[in-house]
This record gives sequence, structure tokens and C-alpha cells, in this order.
Amino acid sequence: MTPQPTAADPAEDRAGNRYARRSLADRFRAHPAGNVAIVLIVAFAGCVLAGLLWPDDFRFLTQANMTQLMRAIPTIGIISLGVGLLMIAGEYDLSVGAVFGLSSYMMVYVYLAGAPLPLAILVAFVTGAAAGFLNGWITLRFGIPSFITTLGTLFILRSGGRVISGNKPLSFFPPEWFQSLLTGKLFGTLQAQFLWFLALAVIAYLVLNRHWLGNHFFAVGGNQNAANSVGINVKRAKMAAFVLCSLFASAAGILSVTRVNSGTTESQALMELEAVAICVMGGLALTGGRGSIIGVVIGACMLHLVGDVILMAQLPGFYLDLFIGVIIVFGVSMNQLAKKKY
Amino acid sequence: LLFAYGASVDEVAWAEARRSVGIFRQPNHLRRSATTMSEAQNDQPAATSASAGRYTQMTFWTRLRRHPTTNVAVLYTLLFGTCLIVSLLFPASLHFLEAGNLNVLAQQVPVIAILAVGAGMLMIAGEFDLSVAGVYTLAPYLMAMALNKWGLPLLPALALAILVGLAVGLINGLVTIRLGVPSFIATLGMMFFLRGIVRFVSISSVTGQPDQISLNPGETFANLVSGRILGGIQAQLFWLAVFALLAGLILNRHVLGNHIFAAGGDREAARKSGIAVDRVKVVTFMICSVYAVIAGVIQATRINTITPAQTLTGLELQAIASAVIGGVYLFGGRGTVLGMVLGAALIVTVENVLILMRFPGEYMPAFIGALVILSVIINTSFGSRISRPRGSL
Repeated sequence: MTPQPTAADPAEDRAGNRYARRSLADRFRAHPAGNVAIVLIVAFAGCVLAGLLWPDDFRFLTQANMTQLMRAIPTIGIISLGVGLLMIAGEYDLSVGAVFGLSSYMMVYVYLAGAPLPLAILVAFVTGAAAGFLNGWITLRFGIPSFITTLGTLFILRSGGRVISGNKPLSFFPPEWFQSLLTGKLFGTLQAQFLWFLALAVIAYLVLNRHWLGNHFFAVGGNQNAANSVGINVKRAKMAAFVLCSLFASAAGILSVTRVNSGTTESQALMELEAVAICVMGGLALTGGRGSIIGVVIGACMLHLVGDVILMAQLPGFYLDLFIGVIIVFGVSMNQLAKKKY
Repeated sequence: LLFAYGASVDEVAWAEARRSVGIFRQPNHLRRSATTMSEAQNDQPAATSASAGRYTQMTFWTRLRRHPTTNVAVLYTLLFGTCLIVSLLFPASLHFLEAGNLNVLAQQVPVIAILAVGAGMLMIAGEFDLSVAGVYTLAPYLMAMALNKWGLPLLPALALAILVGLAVGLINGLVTIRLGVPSFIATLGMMFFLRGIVRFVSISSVTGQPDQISLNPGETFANLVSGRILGGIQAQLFWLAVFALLAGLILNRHVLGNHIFAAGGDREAARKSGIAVDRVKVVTFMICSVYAVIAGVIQATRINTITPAQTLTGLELQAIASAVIGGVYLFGGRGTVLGMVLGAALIVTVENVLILMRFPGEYMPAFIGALVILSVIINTSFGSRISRPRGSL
């Protein structure tokens, strides 16, 4: 979503000036999420076509399948939004899976202990913010790579969660209005969770592109020293990114726990790596400073579209693992090439 | 057995301690001149050498304190000592010193340690490998398939396993170097990829689900790898000594080791002084994967079965954790084989003691996590202290 400055003088166009006005197609391709957007559109169109041609073998267009997709995408999608923001600021968070599990469990625990629901939600977010603060503090105070810090806190939070929960899930039945607000249906098929995902994506977009904090994220992730010398408080920006990332993971936890009606600290294994894969697919630079929220949304849709196709074609599940592996490497190399070109 | 265990580790320890003069590995000619220089300064007042450059003679204690292995060695000695004393005093409540338990340690430490040595060498070269658990599972699995289903003799099957390791390492290296993908991401991709492959090859024709396989390499091989050899030593310990020594020789006595340290320490400087950094890194990736194959084969021979779920147990993180706890510098260029082995021993011993004390198993990952962060903090602050220019140099 980098604004493209337009050249006042069209002569610069022919001279190949980088600020020259580009055609729409060029700008689309230069956009970090351009490639994956094309792939997603083609893949989706292919699925729709196949669903229309062979409605009995390939049940893509059925209501059940669409519902399933819209339920599956938001959880990992919301986590990826946070991971993406942090990645743009030049850091990683591998502990999101543990934060996801722990904060949702804390919410259920407090709720079952008799606290009102808003307080329980607040507890979930406070847990997330605390975890993010811990990650940020260790990383920034001691200057160690965030990928190691958050690897450590992944272990710590996960086993901390197991100790608290004693490995037993708690069932969670919130009031009717809350359940339907978070996980209900609109017009039959449209899932409320998916709308929440889109709403959170809009919030992330506003933070990243319409708020000074987002500017700082790009600056800090792109070139830390330059950001420092133009007067940006690097540590504060990164700390904000860490906390935001964990808050998004908490939000995903709240949504997920309300959907399945059972709170557990056990998150789906390797969620954190899937989130990184989604961000990479969405055109975020691993080194920070480049990326877009729309890319993350598209990446999340893409991952689940492929998973869905694999399920429906009744291929064994390992193809999804294969796909994630290939896409991470392929996506990163594509990004590297794109960076060189533009 | 305790003595056997102590002896083999001590042997490596002394060899290492004798070998490691400076903290920074320098090309041999530099190292030699540094020694002569420091010898010449030996009779200078202590004040001079304290404020002088990094090639001067430090006192024994300073050198020991700054040696990357010291922290973990002290830590491990303390842990082992405490366990010994406690289990001697209260033999009824802590069954640490029993033959059965020490046996378990002697069987488990080498597997993690060999993984850690491979991963640690790669970390010295400045790269990570997150795909070791995949190789660790896939290679023995294919070896077992070659033996059971395709009727290959033992040696070709073993060669096949090693080949798998070489191939995976080569791909990891080429993707990292040629495509410019950070190794942590390239091998993350490989991790998922190998998990898929393992599930693919392990699908049973009967149930259609991933299934375990049994490895029957024959009595001779099994005894040689996981039995008792050389008069009662647990064979795994012997193989650990062999492969740790081999790694130590490569790192400290072979030109490749010099290049590994150089490539990890300062990539540009290494390139400009004529080292083929890319080739060195690819070779180190291959060494790392082959070490993972060796660890996998040793483990599979002992427990006789290989399950596809092995890829999910976080072995790659344990290997990195061992190396980091053992003093390998996270940004490359610094580390010792002894440290990696001790780091692995520390992790496995802590796990063992926690199990013996009937702690809930849930505490274990938290402990590893805290240990990783702490040791990285210590190593990093330590690294920045010594690499800062001091005095006139």
C-alpha cells in the first residue's frame, strides 16, 4: 500500500525514473501482494469452475464448504495479522500459538470463576499484552534476536499453560448474545467470525497505513539506524509491535474458544509457523519494512483454499504440509526477486 | 558405567581445553604468531597485558572465564554433583545413581548430543537448521524400508540413509545460498516438506494411515550401535565420542573448520580473504544433516521402531537449545564441540532428574525455554564485550 508518488514531468517517464507514473498493471505487479493476489484469483476461479462442472465430485460451492472455509480462516488469519505487523517492524514472534491458547484459557477460567464476561475478555487481552511485553522486553533490553526470545517464551508459555490447566479443557458456554455476536451467521452463509477477521484487518490496516505508529513500523523494519537518526524511538515502536502481535493472538483465541465452546491451552501445533508462512505468501519481506495487510488476508485465504482443495480432492493431509513447505521457500525467493526488480 | 561415562567426556574435555587457546579462532599462522607474541610478553607486568590487545596473553583465570565452554561446564558439574550428593544421601527418594537410570542417560544423551553437534557446527558457520527432526526420522525410515521391503543388504541401506542426509543438506544449503533465503526460513520450509514426505512414505497399505516401521538391522549392527562394546561401555557413548572428536578435529585442526569460523564470524571479511564462503556453508549444511541421520539411526536401532510422529517432538529446538546453552554464539563464529555436548547432556539430565522427582512433565519445556533465553543473554552480552576493541588495538 505504499503510495506511488507521481512524477510532475512525463519526460521522466521515458527516462525510467523510479518516480515516474506507471501503468496500473505495473503498479499491481509491483505491489507486495500483487503476485499472490493473482494466484488467489486464478485458484479461486478454478475452484468455482470445477465446482460448477463437477458439482458431485468437487463440492466446493456447497454451503457447508463455504461455511467451513469461513470458519477456518479467521483463527489463523487474525494471528497472522499480528505476526505480519511485527514482521514489518523487523521482528518475529514464534510464541503466538502459546499466547493464543493461554489467553483464551485464562478468559474461560476467569469466567467460570464467576467474573462478568467483559472482565473475562479483559483478562484475555491483559494476558496477551503481558506476553507481548515480556517478548519485547527480553528482545530489546538484551539485544537478542526475537526469533530466539519467542522460541523460548513459546516453550515457557506453553508449559505454563499446561501447568495451570492440568491438561484438562474447560467447557465454555457464554451468553447467547455473545456467542451469536462472535460466531453467528448473517444471511445464512456469511459467518460472523469472518466479518470479525475483516474488521480486525481494517484496524490493522488503519494502524499500519493511517497512523504514525505504522510509519514507524515500516521505518524501523526497513532500516533501524536510519529510523533512529530521524528521531524515531526504535524500541518504543518495536515494543508496540510486539504487544499488538500478542493482542491479535488473544483476539483469535477469544474467537476460537467461543466457537468450539471449550477452553484449552493446547493450541494447534505449529500455528506460529503457519502464520509466518501466510505472511511470506502475502508478500511481507522477512527482513522487515515491506508488506501490506491485504497481503496477509490474501495469504490466509490462499492457505486455507489449498487445504480445502486437498481435503475435497480426498488427497492425504501430508500434501498440505508439503505445500506449506514449498510455499515458504518459493514465496521468499519470489519476494527476494521482486525486491531486486522494483 | 559412571566412570566409563565420565572418562569419555573428560577425554574430550581435556583435549578441547588443551586445544583452545584463544576465544577467537584465527588462521593457524596468526594463532602461532599470537602465541609467540604472548610468550614474549609473559614477563611484562600484569597491568600491560590487561590493557593490551586481544592477542596478548591473558591470565589463566581470565582465559577460563571467557572460554565459551566454561559456563556450561560449571553448570553441568554443579548439576551432576548435586544429583550425585543428593542421591548418595537419600538413595530412597532420588534414584539417580542407579545403574538403570545412568543407563538411560547414557542412551539418551548421545542422540541429542550428536544432533546438537551438527546443528552447532552450522550455527558457528552462521546458519540455522530447523529441519533436523525430519532427516532424523526420514533417513532411518527409508533405511528400514530398504531392509524390510526392498531386501537391500545392511550397508547399502545405511548408505541410502546417509545419502538422504547429504541430499537434504545440499538442498538446504543451495536454497539458502543461491536463492538468498534466510536459512531459518529455508529450513522451516524443509521441515514442513520433510514432515509431508515422512507421512507419505509411511502410509500403510492396510489402514491407509501413517504407520510406524520396525528396524531390524541384524544383531551385529544393533550390538555395535546400541549394545555394549569395549568391555561394557554403552555403545552410544563410544559413537558420541567418535563423532564429537571428528567434529572437533574438523573445526580445530582442518582448514574447513577455520573457514567455518571465518564464514560465521564475518562473512565479508572471509570472502575478501579468499574463502569460498558459499561452498563452506553448503558443506556445513550437509554435515549437519548427516549428523542428524546418524543420531536418527542410533536411536532407531535402540528402540527398534520409527514413528512418523517423531517429526513433531521439537527435536530441532532441543538441538539448537543444546548448542546455545553450550556457548555457541547465536550470530556465528564462536563455539566449541565440548560445549554443545555438555549443553545436550545438561538438557537430558535435567529432564531425567525432573522425571525422577516426579515433576509433572509439563515443567520441562518451560525449563528449556528459560535456559535458552538465559544462555543467549549471557552469551550475547559476553560476545559484545569481547568483540569491542580494547586498548590500543
